[in-house]
Amino acid sequence: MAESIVQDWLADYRRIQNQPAEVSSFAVDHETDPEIAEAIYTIFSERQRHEILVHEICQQFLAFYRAPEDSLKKFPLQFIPVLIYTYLHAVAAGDKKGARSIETLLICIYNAEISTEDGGQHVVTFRMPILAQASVYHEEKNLPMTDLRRWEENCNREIKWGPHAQIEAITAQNRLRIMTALMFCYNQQVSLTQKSALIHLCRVASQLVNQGFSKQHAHRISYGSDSGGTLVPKSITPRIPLSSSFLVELVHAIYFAMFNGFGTVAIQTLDDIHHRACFEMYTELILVTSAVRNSLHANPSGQPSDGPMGLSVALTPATNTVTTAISKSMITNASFRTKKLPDDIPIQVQDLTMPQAPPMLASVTEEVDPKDQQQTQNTSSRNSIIRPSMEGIKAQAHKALIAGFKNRKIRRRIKIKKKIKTKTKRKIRMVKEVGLVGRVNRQSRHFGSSKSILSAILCYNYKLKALTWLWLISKRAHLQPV
Amino acid sequence: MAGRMRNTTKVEALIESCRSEGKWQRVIELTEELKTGSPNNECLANFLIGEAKLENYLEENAPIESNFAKSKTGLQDARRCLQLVTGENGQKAGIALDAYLLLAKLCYACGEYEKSLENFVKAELNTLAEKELTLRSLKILAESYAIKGLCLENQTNKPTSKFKKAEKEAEMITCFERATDLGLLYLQEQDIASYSSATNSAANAGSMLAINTTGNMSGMQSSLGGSSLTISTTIPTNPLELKRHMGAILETALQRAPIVLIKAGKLQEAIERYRAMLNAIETKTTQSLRLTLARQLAEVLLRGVSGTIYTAPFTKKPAGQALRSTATKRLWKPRKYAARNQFTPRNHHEETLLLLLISEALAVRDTVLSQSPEFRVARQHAMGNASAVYDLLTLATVRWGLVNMLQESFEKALKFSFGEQHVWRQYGISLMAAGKHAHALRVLQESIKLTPSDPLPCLLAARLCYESLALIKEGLDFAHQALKRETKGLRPTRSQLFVGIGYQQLAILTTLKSERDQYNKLALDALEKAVQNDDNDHLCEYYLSLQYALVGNIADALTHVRFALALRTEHAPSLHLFALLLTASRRPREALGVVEDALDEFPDNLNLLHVKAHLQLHLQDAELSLVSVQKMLAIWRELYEGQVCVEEEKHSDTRSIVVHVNPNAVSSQMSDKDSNSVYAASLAAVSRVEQALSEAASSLSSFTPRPGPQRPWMIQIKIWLLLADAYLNIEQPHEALNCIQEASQIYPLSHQIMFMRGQIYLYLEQWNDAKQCFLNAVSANPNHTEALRALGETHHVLGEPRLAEKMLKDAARLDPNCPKIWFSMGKVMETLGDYTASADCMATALQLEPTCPVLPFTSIPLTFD
Repeated sequence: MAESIVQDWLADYRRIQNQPAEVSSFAVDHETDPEIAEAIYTIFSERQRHEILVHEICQQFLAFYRAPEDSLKKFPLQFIPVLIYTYLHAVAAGDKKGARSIETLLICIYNAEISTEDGGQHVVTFRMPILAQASVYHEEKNLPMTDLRRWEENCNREIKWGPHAQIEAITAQNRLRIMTALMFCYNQQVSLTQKSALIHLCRVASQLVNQGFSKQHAHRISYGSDSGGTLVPKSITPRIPLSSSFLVELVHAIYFAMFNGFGTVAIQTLDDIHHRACFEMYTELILVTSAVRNSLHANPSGQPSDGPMGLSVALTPATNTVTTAISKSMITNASFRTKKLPDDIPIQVQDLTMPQAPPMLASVTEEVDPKDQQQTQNTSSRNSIIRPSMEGIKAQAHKALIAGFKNRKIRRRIKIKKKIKTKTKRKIRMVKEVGLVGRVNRQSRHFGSSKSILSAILCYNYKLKALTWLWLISKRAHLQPV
Repeated sequence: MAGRMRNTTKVEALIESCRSEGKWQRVIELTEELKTGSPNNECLANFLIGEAKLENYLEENAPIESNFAKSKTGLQDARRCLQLVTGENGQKAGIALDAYLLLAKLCYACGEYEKSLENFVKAELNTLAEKELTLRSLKILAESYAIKGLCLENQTNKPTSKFKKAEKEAEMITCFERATDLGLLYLQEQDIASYSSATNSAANAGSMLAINTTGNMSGMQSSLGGSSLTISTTIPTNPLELKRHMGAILETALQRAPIVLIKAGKLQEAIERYRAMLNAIETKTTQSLRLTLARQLAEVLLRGVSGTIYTAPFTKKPAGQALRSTATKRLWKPRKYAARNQFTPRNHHEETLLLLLISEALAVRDTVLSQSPEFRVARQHAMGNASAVYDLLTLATVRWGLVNMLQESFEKALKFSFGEQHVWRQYGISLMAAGKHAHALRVLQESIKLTPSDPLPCLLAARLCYESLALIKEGLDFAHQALKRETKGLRPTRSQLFVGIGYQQLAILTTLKSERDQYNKLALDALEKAVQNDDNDHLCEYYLSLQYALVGNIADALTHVRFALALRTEHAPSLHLFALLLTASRRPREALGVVEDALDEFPDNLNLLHVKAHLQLHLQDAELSLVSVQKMLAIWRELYEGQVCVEEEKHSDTRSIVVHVNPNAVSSQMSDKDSNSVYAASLAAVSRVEQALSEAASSLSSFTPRPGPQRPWMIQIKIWLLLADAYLNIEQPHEALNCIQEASQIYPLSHQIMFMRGQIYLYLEQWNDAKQCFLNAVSANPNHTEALRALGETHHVLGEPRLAEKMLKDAARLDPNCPKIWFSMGKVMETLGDYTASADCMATALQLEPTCPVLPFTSIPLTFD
């Protein structure tokens, strides 16, 4: 039955192949006739009996795939899962020769899919969205700060699929990578394929992951007696080697099927994949399968049966479930208000004209110990900055030091400190200006840390290292156009 | 008279403000006042009382199906009042229209859809022109459209003709659309009003009751419109303040609108509707609605839209903006986000991820942290919302290798996920997938506690311990725990196998002979059992074969490796083991053939290449071996250079924690797993020693360790050493020294490098230098048997037979199966004059020689695939 349909189908196309007008009408018929697809599925499921026919189908698919008509072109794509299964099954059973035609077809589709029309490499890219930038769906100021921070690190990151290298042959090493790429392409097209193909997708996916796991196979001949020759009886179907990323793509396809009319079957298939994932311990795959399974359990995401695409109306719980009195004492994540620290030192216009600005400095010195704070608040004149610290040091020095050469050393140190102080002051002013820039351009990362640098300077007061910091600031200040 | 008028106006103003704030009890009181004040306002009073009673009732009893019967009696009063207004008096007062609309609402609350629709016809809802409205009127109108849509959807008598059906569907869809637009507009206006009433306590509230009367409202509206910007900045002001509900009718309609479109098969329009609703500026009331909508749109995109049929949102924006400038269009449309520099998704993936990120932020904000029992319901509801978003986020990110980000999300979720097994488990697994092994182990331990019956987290923990953390004993404990949890008869798991692997590793690491024999026995038992439990698992057969090989039973090992290969023809470690087993049974040529065939299938597998080069050396084909090693270097470059460079980038910018991962990088990581380090079995422990030493070295000298993950560098060292070996074989010690130089730039203190350097000195017959090198190697790693043996031999050459004997005995204790050690020992004994012992040693060497592989069996890396 299936055989004759497929024979007719092959003959029909062969007859009209060179007449463009008829080809397009053939393509239209094709779209509307589910029988042909069904027949082809049947043939593939009995591959061993119809070896020649499979070969011819593959040839025809290839012709379709290269045809200019779009509808013809996408027809073979719906068979990708079946082709993959048939191929992997044959390879696992050690029958690579029998699957040569399918292998060739898969290689051709792969090579075509990974390159663009003009021969370049097909790359799917997208930008990683970040919440810190306003979008058509949100304003950054209405979201909690922590969320903005976190994804900011991925700013302008491009996520890519591809480019992939062209291949000439499939080896054990690249086999699953190629199958993954093919499944990815299938997923890109999946909403264009006939809905009836989805049931075959589920069936085939289950077979892929379950094969070799059923318990009823014949018990193996006791081994150990023979050290050579045939060892394992043929009745055992070997498990098909798979990979995590391939199965992740497969799960995406299954997920689509689940919400487009094949809920029950797809859920069953997903369970099968999940069990295989746990058996092989594919961490990424387990993440995905358990996410989908969890969303199918008690969860507002909706079941496939809930409505179109599992969507349903989810009303917020009315006040009667949570009485207002309780909800007031309830602590939610939103109850915590992260107080936003200023990105930079607040600008005070008078700062630029007046030699010092106590309020600004107060905000600067919050991380400095009280002694230093007092010190920095006395910045009315250059001398007064230095005096307290100098006196303190001198007093210490008198106590501790006897030898004169040591005193000299200290004096030199103080001299250096003095230098630092003056520089610090200049830098503070510079940072003020910098703060202005920081306000204007908040996104700018360069000045996010100038505040911390400044406090670092104040902490480092007694160390030469401060000089490096200062140098750092001045360098940055020069870099930034004001 | 004038005073009374003023009084009335004041009351009316009060009533109006109460109406828009929904204080219905107060409205009734005020209306009584109004009635007494001016009896000619009877019509208006009736309307107000009817409205207040209706709304009051609906606040307590939501208009849902289970309440329909009850409502019929409960709403009798309100219905009577409102019906009074629909008469001529009402028409005159201009409130009949509102009354009809309210009556329709009332009918809907009683489940009388037909009657409700009739009222809408009377109110001429379809013919209303767009104009400025008061808050209350806006709400009535929005609800009216919503109700009409819902009524049309729920209508029992379906139209027969196809044409009529389509017409009805179209009408329903427009109703929902209008309802959403007006509803959102109402909510935005409400926000503004509550804000302004807070500032200037309803000073300019007019008595604009009816929809048809507009008057001077427009001025007020525009002034309020101006403040809209300031409002939206203050939305999340106080989350604890009483949340206003938009009412079940509006909320249902807002969510229903896109679903109705999907049902009608208009997927694209539905997506546009979602987008339009999400594009409207959010309000206090719409926060949870936005969460639902964002999540649902993401769901639609994930479930129903594949790459090819997707169209990006707001692509025709310029044209839309031009239209919007005409004021008439905007009146009944909600205000939209219009920041400069907006992120507009360009494709499917961008939009999905953006929506999920927003929903994540919203869902996380609403999660309940209080653990006391009275919040259980609220907590579970919020948790459900959050985990739904996490699940979708998982689905959307893992495919792109963004596990690192996912793991960060879960980390944040821990704050509100006390005792939530799903979140903990996903967190642990995502850490594991992101390669944060030690952290993953801790989280998995928690997960093991939370799911007392699931063997999976135990197995994952065991694998982590074996594979990455070198905690074999702990791993074995986890494996035992997993075995205990396993339910027999269901799907097989690998718990039993993992127990076996644990014992095997322990046996390899143990130096005490009695202990090692015991572990070997336990490992053999466990692995035999694993094979019995699941006789279709190639991995069990492989490990059983390896176990036989390790205890020197080459024949059984060969049998089982054949089983393993029958179950999985293309399994690199099995092929590797098979080749070594062949060399152990004196068939090195066949082994080379196996390796070469295997390399056809796995051209990039460094382990197999290593064996190949070694075999070629062994078979005196040093030139060919050189070619193989060169190929190894090229492959190393191809596989790891990218990784290492990426890591360098990471070092230079400490901010970006995320490694650039794309599917390509993922695949190279995969191949990392397949063809990883050459002596990985012993690598975990040994490389740690080397690392520690090299760190010490870096603090002493100017040496800086190479950036990036250590494993690729370790592999490179191995390759250099092999190359040095090859050069020595073709008598080019200078080249060999150069190789050593390269290797020692990576890790100066590796014992293997020291050993190899010693070998070169041996070749150059500089015995004392050689001795020093071997001594260094032994002090870096006292368990390095090859260095011990070489040291012994050097002592022997230098005429120090007693020391030689000591070293060789140490070596033999560590590795009793190595014929070379026994042979050297025999020679030393000969020099010492102990001929019986010498003969014994030689005999042992002879006995061991046929079963000695060209490389130790432990050189095959641990595998779990």
